[in-house]
Amino acid sequence: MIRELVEMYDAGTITAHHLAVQCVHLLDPDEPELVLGQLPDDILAAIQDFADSYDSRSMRTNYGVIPASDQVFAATNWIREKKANVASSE
Amino acid sequence: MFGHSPRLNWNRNPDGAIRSITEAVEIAKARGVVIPEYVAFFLDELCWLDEHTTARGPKITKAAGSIVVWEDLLNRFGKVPFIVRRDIMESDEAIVAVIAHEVHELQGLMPLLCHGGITIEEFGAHTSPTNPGNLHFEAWDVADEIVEEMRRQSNDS
Repeated sequence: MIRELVEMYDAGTITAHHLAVQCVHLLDPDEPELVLGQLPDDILAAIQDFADSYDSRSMRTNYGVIPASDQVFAATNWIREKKANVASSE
Repeated sequence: MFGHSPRLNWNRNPDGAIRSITEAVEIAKARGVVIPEYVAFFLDELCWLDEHTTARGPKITKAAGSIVVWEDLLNRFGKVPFIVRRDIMESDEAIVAVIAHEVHELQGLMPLLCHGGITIEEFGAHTSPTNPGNLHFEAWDVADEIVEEMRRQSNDS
């Protein structure tokens, strides 16, 4: 499923924001790696942008689902840890 | 309750032809729909669209009161992508109507989004199928007019 979504993004069928929101919605907060580990860096950046502006009390969308706060929290933590690991290995 | 939809029932192509998305865009252009360079149409390969949704533009998800700008709609090629339901390809009338509808709605939004943007609530109000008199309703009226013209031309020939 994630690979199909990334292919749609690559083809231009969906935007980076759309892919980012969809992936956060699909991730298991206990195992975010399963989804986030398949994503390119530009989509992880889009997820971080989305998470930075996320307000669990008042999100709006023009259609479809809105990720839950535990999913957004898990994504933020995973991305932060990934950046930290990259920095420490340099 | 389902929102505003086209007044006309679209006829399937009499020869049973099913168009590709590239052919669909050319058919719409040939019928007078001006498709800007910044728009791209794709088939709904994953069957995301239900029976009440003929096509769909980019998903926008933001905190209440946040501003939606033109860049929010763009794919990585700088175009606004629309996904079109597969069965639309079975009817040239449907193709022309759906593409005309989406282009009209987008062209109504463009000046708003390019000049400071609008809140996500305003964006939703303009595109909602349950808000009479909005851009979405207006765009179906435009689509109906184009299909009626197609039928007039067909009867004349």
